[in-house]
Order: sequence, then C-alpha cells, then structure tokens
Amino acid sequence: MQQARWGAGGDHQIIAIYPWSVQEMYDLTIEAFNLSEKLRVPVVILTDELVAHLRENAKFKPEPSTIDRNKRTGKPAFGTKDDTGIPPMPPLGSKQKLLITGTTHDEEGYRKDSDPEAAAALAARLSNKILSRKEEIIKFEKDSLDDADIVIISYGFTARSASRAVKLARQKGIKLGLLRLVTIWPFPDELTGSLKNKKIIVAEMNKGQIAAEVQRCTGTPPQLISRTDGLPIQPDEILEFIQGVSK
Amino acid sequence: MSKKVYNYIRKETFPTPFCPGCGHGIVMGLILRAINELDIDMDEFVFVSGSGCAGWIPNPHYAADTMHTSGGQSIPHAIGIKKANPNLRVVVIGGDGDIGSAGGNHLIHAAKRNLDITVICSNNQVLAQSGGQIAPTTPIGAITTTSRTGNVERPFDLCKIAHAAGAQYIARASAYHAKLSLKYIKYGLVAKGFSFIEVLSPCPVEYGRRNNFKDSVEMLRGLRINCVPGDIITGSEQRGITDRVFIGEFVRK
Repeated sequence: MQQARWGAGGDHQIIAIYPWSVQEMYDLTIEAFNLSEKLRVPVVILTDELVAHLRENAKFKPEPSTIDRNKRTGKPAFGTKDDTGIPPMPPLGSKQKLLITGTTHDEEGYRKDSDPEAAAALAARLSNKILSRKEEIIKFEKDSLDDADIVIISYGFTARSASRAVKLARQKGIKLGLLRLVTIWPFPDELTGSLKNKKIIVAEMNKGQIAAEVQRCTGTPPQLISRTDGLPIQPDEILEFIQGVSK
Repeated sequence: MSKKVYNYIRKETFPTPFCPGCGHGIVMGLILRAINELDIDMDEFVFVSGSGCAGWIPNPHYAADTMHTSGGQSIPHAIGIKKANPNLRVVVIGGDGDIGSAGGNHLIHAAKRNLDITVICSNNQVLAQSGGQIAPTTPIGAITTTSRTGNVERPFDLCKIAHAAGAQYIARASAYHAKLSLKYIKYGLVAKGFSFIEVLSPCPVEYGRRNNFKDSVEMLRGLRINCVPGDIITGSEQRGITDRVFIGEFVRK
C-alpha cells in the first residue's frame, strides 16, 4: 500500500486504485489508462492474490471510452506555468527535439539538478496537478453509511468480506456501515475525516498501513482487524469483532 | 569536419561533462560525423541512453529526440520506441556498465529479438561515473575502487555475447582507431536488424590513473598496441597473438 505511494525519490503525488472484482479489474484498468493519459502521471493498479484468482462474470465494453493524451507540438513538453499543470506530450519523431531525462529538469527538458528554483517548481507542479483534481480522481463506495454507528473502512478483497459482514450485522440490528476505498492514493482525507464521530474499524491484510492514514484524517487511532497469514479476513471474523465493539 | 555537424548539437549544453582525455567525446563526434556522411535528417533519429558517463553522449548534447533513462534501461526503452513507431531510427548509446552490466540481459534479449535498432557501446572497462568501480568488462588484474588488489574475474566480451544472441551486425574498434570506428558506426546505423558496435574508450581519470597510465595519450597508445585485427568467432590468432583485443567487423549479415 505504502510502496505504491512512496515508490520513488522526491516528493510527488501518484494515483493508485484497488479493484475488488473481475468486473472492476476491467473497468478500472480502462479508467487507469484514461487518468494516466489525461494527467500525464503513472497510475498504479493495486490488486491482491485473492482478486487475481477470482473467476466471475464480467461485461466487456465493445468500445470503451478512451482519452488520448494532448499531443500538441510547439509548446514546452516538460513543464507548464498554466493552471492545469499538465504540459502537452508530443510523440517521439514529431520533430520537437525532445530532451527526455529522469533528472530534475526545466520546462524544455534541460537538466537542472542544482537549480533549487527549478526543483521546487517541478515538485510543486507534479503534486498540484493531482491534488487540485482530488475530487474528480477519488472513487469510493458507501454502504449503509449514513445511519451507521460503526464504520468499517476496507478495500480490495477484504471489502467483500466487510460488505457481507455489514449485511449480517444489520440483520442482528447492529448499525454497521462500510466505506470501501476504490482510489487509495490520493487518499480521501476529507471523507475519512467526516466520519470521526463514528466508531471506525479498518480491516486490511497488513499491520495497519491504511489504518495509519485513517488516524491521520480523524485524529484518533481506529480499531484494526489485521491478518498477515495469507488467509482472507472472513465475514464472521469481522462480525465477531463488531459484536465485541458494539457491546 | 563538415560545418553541418554543428547543426546536430545543442551548443548551449557545452562544455560536455566529460573529463579531459575521455574517449566518449571522440565517440560523440564520430556518431555525428557518421550521420553527416550518411546525410540522414537528425529528426529521424531517437537516441536513447542510460546511466553512466556514456549516457551523456546524446543527452543533452544531440539536437534530436533524446531520452536519458535509468541505469541499464536504455535498450528496453529503445525497443518500446521502435515498436511504437517503426519509422524512427532508434540508436542506443551507452557504456559497458549500462549495456553490459545493469542492461546485460536486455542486450541479449534485444539481440535475440532482432529488432531494427543500433546499439553503440562506448566501453571504458570501468564504472566511471559512479566512482571507478569494477565493471563486467574490467580486465583481469586491473585495479579499481572495488578491486584494490586487482580484478580476479574474467571480463565479458560484449561482442561475443551479442554474437551468441544473434545480432545481425557486430563490430569493434577503439577511440584510437577513429576512422575504423566511423566506418563501423556508419554501417551499423543503416544496417537492418540488431546492430552492435563496441568502441573501446580510454578513461584516464577512473581507470588510467589507478593502473599506471601516465595520461590519456598513453592509454590511446595502449589501445593502438593492444587492439589487433582478428575474428572473435573463429578465434583466429593472427600473427600468433592471443592476449590482445581483436577488433574488426565480426558479423555482417
């Protein structure tokens, strides 16, 4: 989870999405390419072994809607001062004499590894172009959240168990809701923060990597259902935990 | 040299980052001369390089599409570029560390795949930019910062590797044998299929000074003496010489 976010040196923003079904794997892969083409940023599709091994029905679109990158020539291809923060990306061979480097660079692509101003401008642009579009990027799913006393935050395959647990808990009269994160990065800070008056539980297949993010947003550490033995977190396991909490 | 060559460089990026006496500057000029003599438009080329000193040869100096990638990743990028637009002339320029070490596996598989790209390796037998560490091409006995008592491992022969993997054009010369190198680069740039050209290049700062070379001129003299015409494939020992580096055109299909 955190490796997708911080997998490179220097500060930057990245988009990472986490499907929970075969259908979503297909839909979100198209979405990932579209985001990447539109925002000129790598988009990471996170998945777990359980989602990867699923066999389910899925509907494929005969003509999925795709976005093509801006290939306009004649403008600086490695930086822009306009509000979008996304420079055009002309293809190689379009007579633009593109100067591509992985190092800190200016708008024309010239290496500026010892220019503090260029470095600051680049880091700011790479972050801002994502942060200023957080609302259109971030996807999530709410299940019985509005009247819930207890909220479980989960993602990926674990969210399927959580979704089942919500049904079972509601049958028992426990007001449990689910917030399923589809976009993991950028993290839905405001949404998570708005839940701080409810009892929050995070279910995930690690020692609390997203729980730490939730704590950052709500100010208090959430309760954690964690499993790292390779076996999935079961709905009953969540339900049992909830019953313990709701008493 | 034709004045036209000056149109092929970004003058504002000079001086180059190369140390005095470095052979990469010679290779840099030779590639431009070859393009000039072939009379190909620079806009048809994409130059891809990786980390290391030789990665600086095309980027930022060449006035064409250039791409400076991370260590060893120049050949995979070049494959992607060629696949996306087969009309481009894709040239990889790198050192022995970039192409033989970090990107060694890529070299083998690209040669096997036989995509129409040209790989020019400016081999200085040491990982120079990172501080003079041992490279896979460092000769036995050579002193580097990570082989203080002399290298005990046998060096790679990159041309033999390219041959075993199926490259369609393989040639080796040295920065001393500039005219020969120019001839090979010229052919390699237009040859169909995967072409591999190795140019031995002196590194007086990271290699020479630790191995009793007085200066770059002495290193060039060493290349003159140690490089002999030969055939790596038949292993023909011309004039009874076995401990020398064979140069020449080894494969031309």
